[in-house]
Amino acid sequence: MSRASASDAIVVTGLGSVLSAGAGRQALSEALQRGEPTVQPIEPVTGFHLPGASRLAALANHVDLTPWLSRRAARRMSQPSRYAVAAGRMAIEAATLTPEEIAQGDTAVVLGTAFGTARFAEALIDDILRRGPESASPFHFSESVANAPSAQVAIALGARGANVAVTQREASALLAVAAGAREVRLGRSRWALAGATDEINPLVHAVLGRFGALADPAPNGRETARPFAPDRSGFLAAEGSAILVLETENSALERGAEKLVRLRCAVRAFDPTAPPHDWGFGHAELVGRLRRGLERANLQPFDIDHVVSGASGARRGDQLEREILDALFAPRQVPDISTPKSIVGEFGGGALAAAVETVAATGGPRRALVSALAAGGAAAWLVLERP
Amino acid sequence: MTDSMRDRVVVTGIGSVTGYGAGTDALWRGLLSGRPAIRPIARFDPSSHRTQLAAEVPPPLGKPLDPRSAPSSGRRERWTLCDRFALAAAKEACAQARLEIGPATRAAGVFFGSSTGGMLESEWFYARLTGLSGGRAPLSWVPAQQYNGPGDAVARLLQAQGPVETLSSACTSGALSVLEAYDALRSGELDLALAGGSDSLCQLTHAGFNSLRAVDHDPSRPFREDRAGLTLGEGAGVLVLETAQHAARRGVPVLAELLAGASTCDAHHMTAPAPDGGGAARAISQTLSEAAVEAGEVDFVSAHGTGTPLNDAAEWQALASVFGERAGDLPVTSIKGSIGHLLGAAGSIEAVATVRCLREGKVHPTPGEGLVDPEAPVRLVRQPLESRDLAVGLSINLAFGGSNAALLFRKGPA
Repeated sequence: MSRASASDAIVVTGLGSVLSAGAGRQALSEALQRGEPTVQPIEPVTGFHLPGASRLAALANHVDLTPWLSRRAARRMSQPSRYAVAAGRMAIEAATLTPEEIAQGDTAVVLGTAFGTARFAEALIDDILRRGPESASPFHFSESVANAPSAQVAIALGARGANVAVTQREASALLAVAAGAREVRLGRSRWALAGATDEINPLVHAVLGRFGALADPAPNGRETARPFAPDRSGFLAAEGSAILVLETENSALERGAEKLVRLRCAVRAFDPTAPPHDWGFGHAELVGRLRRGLERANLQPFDIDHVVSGASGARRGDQLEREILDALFAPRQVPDISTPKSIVGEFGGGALAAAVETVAATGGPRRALVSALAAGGAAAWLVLERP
Repeated sequence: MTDSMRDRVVVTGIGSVTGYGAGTDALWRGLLSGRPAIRPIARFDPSSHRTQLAAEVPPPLGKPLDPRSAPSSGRRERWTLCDRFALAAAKEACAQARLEIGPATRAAGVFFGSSTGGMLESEWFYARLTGLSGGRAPLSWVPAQQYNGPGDAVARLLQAQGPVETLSSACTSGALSVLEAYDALRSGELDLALAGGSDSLCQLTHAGFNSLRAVDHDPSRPFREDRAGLTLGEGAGVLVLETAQHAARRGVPVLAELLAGASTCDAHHMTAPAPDGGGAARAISQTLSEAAVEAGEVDFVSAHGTGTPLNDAAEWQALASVFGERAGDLPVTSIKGSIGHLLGAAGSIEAVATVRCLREGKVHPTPGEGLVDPEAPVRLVRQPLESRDLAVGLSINLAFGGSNAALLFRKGPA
């Protein structure tokens, strides 16, 4: 496959999503309009949670996946793999791509994950410790690797390009999109399926709660993440999958595919002042990196008219985000900000899908900065624009 | 300064931690000795496991910290064993590349592979949390136990502000991290990057591979007729990569040039490679094509060579497909018979060894007795193979989920 020209822009021509609000763009769009998260109680029986701890999460395990994944096939997969295969099929249907095209296009699959296939990893450890190593399940083991969902997507769809799992906490989804776009831009793949998949099991939820990372239970029993609010207390844990189809604009034009959004640039950075479990104080350096990244794409901050923020209600994370946005747009006002994690919860894939939906919507912003700051220091931004 | 230097990516430092101990000199001596670093497992009681051998990093570095001990740094940061392997290898690589913490490292990116991160410590945490072992389950154990722990720890060491990205694609993770760094350098996003991988032995991976019946009772024997599986190892491999222009500006010696790399997927099976080696062959072919190197110019191959019947057979098919009649004459070596399978660090430690082979003008042997499998008739390097003409080395990795990666290196100036 020949190298794409450097000026060949990357566009999104398909979006598939499995989120707590349901499967597909319509469910996501309706959830964003409602402005309310869809939450379920975490399984109560495990005993990992402390008394009075947050007990709700934006879970997607109630979503019917059978239109995209047979029950028989689902039995051979972990939950994140099921979400990802369903979202992947949804995305290529939306992009009007056939399985033959996916196979012939050396399609890359790049999926981010924060916690991997947590339930199977826990089950494997539990079996080994309680019943001995000989009780380890080969199925649990092969599905416990972080790249199991991206591999299952590749197997299900016949995608033979690069197959990569990006594991950089909250920044994973945007980093995966950046990596997928690069595979296409360099001409290694005609299409890339890029996004994220994650699951929240009781153990991960309880540990996040013990860290004080989750939104406090409110008197009415609901935990509400309040991004940027002075009294915010944490985020709403969430799971699911969101996958984009990426290709060059020329490729989309050639086959008459609808372009949802154009990916103008991706910027990556790291804040070494961050401890492993929290966000740091290096906003000035992060802004410097972001500015230089925008300049490389011939953009200035005032070219951006909307921010889809990764703010989740995290105490320190939201403060760092605020400091970055204020410094980036100074001396002007920060443009309108949307905070989809108050609706889809803290799952990078959900925020990514919401960002695409926001820019693709009729009357949506012309050009949006999408941000993701990860606990531990990683940072990623995308600039999405109306094609 | 020529225009072509701006595009070229060179290696200026390598570092490693393996069953032979800390340091690339220890690795090289061990590899040339032909004596595997594979021993009975000491980290945990292996008596109830199906197999009992691994290539553990020897103490003091390979001894897990007592979880009740003081934090490992003054910043309340608790490093996992996997992090410590990564940090040790990164320090060695930086020292060889004459890198000190400063503007160059602050502008750098870090790309790291790990298949399990701090899973060893997660096992301890879970045992205590569930009451399966005594003692408290302190939360301070948790944050560093993620996949991104080693790469983030290295980035904090360097005070790096460039992109930091952890890739966890099982056994290709380390090679993919090198490829990710290569792309960032070639695109002009970065001038300098550290790329590597790190993994530590834990019960989950050992029991897991045993559940697949993929572990040999004896030290693994890659490409032998009677091979019966892999042996797990642990450790880290790190490379300092920079643009040729940046290295020239810093006045540091170039160890090797990273000519190109590529990654593909079989899209075939979760744990078995495609029998025809088609995905791996495409990765190799794409790499050669991008590097504009003919198959005939490759002087040796550092194979994935796990010692499992399926892997080695598929890898031979890939080599036969790309190299044709020459495949049987091409020297092939596998590091896994010496230091075991480093999983998420396999690709990076094999890249380190490939660079060292080019530097020394010598291909390290693959230990083990037995005839080469007639169904996978590689020209296996059994004794150190010395050649002043050694110029181009190819490193290959295959992984769970059908991921394949290839990296091509050329010897640096003398």
